[in-house]
Amino acid sequence: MIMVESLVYTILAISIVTPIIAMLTSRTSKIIPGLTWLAVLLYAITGLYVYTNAPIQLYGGLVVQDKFTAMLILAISLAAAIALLAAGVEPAYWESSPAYYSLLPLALFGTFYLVGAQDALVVLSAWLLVSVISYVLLALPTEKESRAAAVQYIFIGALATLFLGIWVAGDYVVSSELGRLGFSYTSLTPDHFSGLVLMAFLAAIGFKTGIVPFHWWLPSVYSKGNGYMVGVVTGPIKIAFLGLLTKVIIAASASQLVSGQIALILAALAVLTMTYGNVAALTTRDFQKLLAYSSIAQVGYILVGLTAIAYLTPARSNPLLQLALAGIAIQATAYGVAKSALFPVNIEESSLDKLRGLLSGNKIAAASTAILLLSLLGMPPFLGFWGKLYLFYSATSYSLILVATALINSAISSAYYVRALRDLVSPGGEVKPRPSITIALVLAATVILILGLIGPLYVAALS
Amino acid sequence: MTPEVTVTGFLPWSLIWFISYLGAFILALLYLAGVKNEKVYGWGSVTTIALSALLATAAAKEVFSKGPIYSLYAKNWVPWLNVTLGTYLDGLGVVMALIVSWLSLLIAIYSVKYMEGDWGVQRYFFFFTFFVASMLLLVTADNLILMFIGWEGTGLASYALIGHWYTDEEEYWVGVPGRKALGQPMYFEPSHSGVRALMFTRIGDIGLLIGMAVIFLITGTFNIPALASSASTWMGYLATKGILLPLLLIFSLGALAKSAQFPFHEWLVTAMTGPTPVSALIHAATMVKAGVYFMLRFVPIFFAGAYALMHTNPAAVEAARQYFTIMAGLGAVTAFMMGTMALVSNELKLILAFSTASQLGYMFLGTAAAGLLLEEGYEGLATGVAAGLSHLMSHAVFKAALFLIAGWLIHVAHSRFIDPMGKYAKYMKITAVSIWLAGLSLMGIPPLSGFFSKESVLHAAEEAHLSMGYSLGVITAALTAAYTFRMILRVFHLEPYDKEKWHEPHEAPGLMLWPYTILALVSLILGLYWTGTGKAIGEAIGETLSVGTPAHLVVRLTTGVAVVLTLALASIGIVWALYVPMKVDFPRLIREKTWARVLHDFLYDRWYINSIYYWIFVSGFAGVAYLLSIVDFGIDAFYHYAIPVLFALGAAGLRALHRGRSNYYMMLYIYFAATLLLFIYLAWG
Repeated sequence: MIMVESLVYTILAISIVTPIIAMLTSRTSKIIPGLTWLAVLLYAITGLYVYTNAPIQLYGGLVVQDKFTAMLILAISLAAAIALLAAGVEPAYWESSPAYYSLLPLALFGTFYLVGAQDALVVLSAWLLVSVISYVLLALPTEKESRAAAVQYIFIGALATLFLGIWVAGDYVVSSELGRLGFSYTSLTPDHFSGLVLMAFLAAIGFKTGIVPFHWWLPSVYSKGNGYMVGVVTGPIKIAFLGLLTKVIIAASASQLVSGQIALILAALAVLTMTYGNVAALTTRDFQKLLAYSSIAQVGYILVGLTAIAYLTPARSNPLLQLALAGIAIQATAYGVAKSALFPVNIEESSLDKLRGLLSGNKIAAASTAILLLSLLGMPPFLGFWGKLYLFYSATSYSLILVATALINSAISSAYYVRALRDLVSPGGEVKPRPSITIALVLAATVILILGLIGPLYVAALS
Repeated sequence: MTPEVTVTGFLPWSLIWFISYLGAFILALLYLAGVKNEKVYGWGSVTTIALSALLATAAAKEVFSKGPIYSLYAKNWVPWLNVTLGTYLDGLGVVMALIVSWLSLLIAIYSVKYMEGDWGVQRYFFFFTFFVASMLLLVTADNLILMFIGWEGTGLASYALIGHWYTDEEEYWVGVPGRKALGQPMYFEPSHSGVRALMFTRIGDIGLLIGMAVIFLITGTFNIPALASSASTWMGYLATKGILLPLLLIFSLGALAKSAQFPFHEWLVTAMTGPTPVSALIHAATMVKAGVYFMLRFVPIFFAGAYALMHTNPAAVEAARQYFTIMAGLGAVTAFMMGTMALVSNELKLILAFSTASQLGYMFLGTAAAGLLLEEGYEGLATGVAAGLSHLMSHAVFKAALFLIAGWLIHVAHSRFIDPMGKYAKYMKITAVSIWLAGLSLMGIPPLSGFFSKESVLHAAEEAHLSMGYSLGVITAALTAAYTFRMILRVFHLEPYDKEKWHEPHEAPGLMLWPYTILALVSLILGLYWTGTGKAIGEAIGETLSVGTPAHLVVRLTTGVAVVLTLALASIGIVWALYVPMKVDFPRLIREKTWARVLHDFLYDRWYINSIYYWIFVSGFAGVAYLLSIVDFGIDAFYHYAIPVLFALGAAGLRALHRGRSNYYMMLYIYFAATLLLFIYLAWG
């Protein structure tokens, strides 16, 4: 326990120390990114430690880390490392330097509490911390468009935070007691007030993760924001929010009175989210927009698994529940790792037409991009395949129609993934991504491939 | 009633078929190595087949003296299917091996000369040898799987050799170019005929496979002797389930198709596009006999099953009786139908092809009739089966001779039609004697072998009280005499119809002349010494699986025999009268008299069965394909136009919702939060 706290506080300390070191040395000092790398490494160690000693209770049970959250922490570390690798030393030369290198460890610090929170107020605190960091990160680059995107993100984000506030208040009202541990949903009943509380949570988390119909900001911000920063927001930070979503749904579905209805609501949101994301992505020629809409669709797939979780949670012994959890952990990892590497590609050029020739320009980058896109599509043997397989398979316990819809959506998505793939490997201009981006792509593709090969072990790892 | 069996290893008896496969394999290797010399292939094929023939002869000697041989060399060839690997040489198997190997040898020798200079001679001899090996495997296999491998091997070789001249020059066609019946073409190219043969026989083979599978599921074995010894058990079981008759019929579909029995007879007619030695060997003497062999092999087994159940399971006995009656009926109908077609044909090989299918019908009639002689016990069975086998043997000999002669006649006439042929007896004395010997045997005139074997078949049908089958058999005997006599008369003795295209013929070279002369003489000798021939066949049947009782093939001069012989002679007399003293101008008659034309066209166009098949299956399926193509067009349009347009509009529409303004997004956010709340309340119920 002390070990975990020490690690997390060290990460916080790195975040605080970084600007001081920059003032004492230089904004471009190599020590600064080095410290950020150290923070990422420590976060990964935290994840490993949590996994081997799970479950770990902190702050009298307000934060609990189990094997599932440990996997998410590891996924966040990987995604953060890839995003950091892609950005390289470029953020050191921005006017805002060394904010990026300082905020990234702080964001990691926040995600630790977000995925492990067992109390609404802890959620609110971590949420505010991570959200503010996200807004600031998007506003860091000097490009006007990126800053405009950040402002939009802040505006709508504030509204979402308001809904989170309603949920926090509601959570306490439902429990009718203060100072108890865990969420109050075990005795949730299908009344008007608890409906309002659930809606507030879904609206708030829907904003953060891009669930339709709370996704409106996402295509604009993701397509206009700086690729490095979007990589962080959509990679490590989103994984943490997906962890929070899963934990709250598990807590809410514990009551047999509402689990079926929650599953129905999640299934409806899943269908909406998958279909919206996939259809909207179909004809766009902008690679960054394509990734933005595909992000929506990927969260839709995760909602399919969450539907199964909501439905199966009252019967805890069901092996499909474990499968669904493994599916979410895998899908979040596959998604976060791939997107952290792919969004920075748009730093060079975001039009698919102008990305033609990547194969002749940089074969390794093109092959890695291809692997990441195929993983997002769900092609074996890459990691994304196992994620979709487990998510969809577990959902067969709830509704075959839902699974069929998910499969059809997956088929639809092949149209834009394969088209993007074709464009990337077609002959054309000699596009040469920056070395840092190439390295990030290669690392991400390697991770996706290796984890894909051991994908079936995930289920056992969670039990 | 299974005779005692001597069990041996692989050597030497399995070499009967193995050596020919080895020969085919070596020929293929030589071809791949670039050896082009056709003599290597011709004589290589002859040598390997000669070795097979000598081994078969030695095996026959062994079987006749010591009883059946079971050369079992792998008890567990395919363990999970319980498949053995062995050669089973009983009386039937060894007689079949003798017929196949020796006829193949003579025809291979003939082929060396006939195929001289042909552009595909290497391929020809490879498939020829491969065919002989497969045929020998088929008749000596100890289990259904091995038999099926041989069965399919012969089918493959048949397909390849029918389409040997796959470049489809008109001289190799069958039928009159341009002729149509009921709007369907009645002329066939080699490549088309090859595919037809394959398609027709595959339909039957599917039945055979299904039958094999069902029998295996019940008995757990493919081993033929094991199936024979357990026949009463599995037949009884199937009868209690009410599926014995359908199963036996489905199991026999392969035999019906392979032996070109109605309704599968059409493929054999057009198979005549292959080189004539192929027609002689595969489509007259051997492969088409595979179906008859199947009957000869399994009728005793089914008989034994039914015989054992006679007092305990009347349903099984009744189903077996119905099966034998149906098979005999199909044989009789085929014999009659094809006989009528042969009456009017003017293509030499087609006349012989119709005749082949017709005579195969006799064999089915006789063999199936044997199964009906339950009350007479195994002696009745043995006599009937021996009748079928004797006709198989005598037909193989005289029909091979006739085909080989036809090959030479077509060569000298430069035509496959008999119209430019005539007066050949004057120029080809030996050939004329040969065709008369073989022809009289086909006509069923004593003392040729065909007389005795045909009478034996008719006797079996009579004994089995198959009045309809017997009557059709008798009528067919008259038809056979008529068309055979007409063919020989027109080609060898009368003036040709088409004098302008007549070419002066000459005797065939020795390598071609002697094989068919020997065969014609054999036909005579077998008949002259029928007492010995019949006894040998009877003894062979006595050493056959599920029979075990020697047959007595003696033809006595009864009223029935006298009637059949009189009818045959009378029909010969009528044909002679029509062509010689009356000099009836048949082409003119057909042109001028409607009744004559209608009758001629009905028979010439094969009872319109081919056209009906083409309308139902080819045009019918083409119609279905057209309808499906319309559906396909709709599906294509849906997938390639409607869906892309729909999705493009959908995608653009959804993206258009994102206007980029924050206040608009916030409005949407709140609006949908309220909608979600409503939805949750609805879900809450």
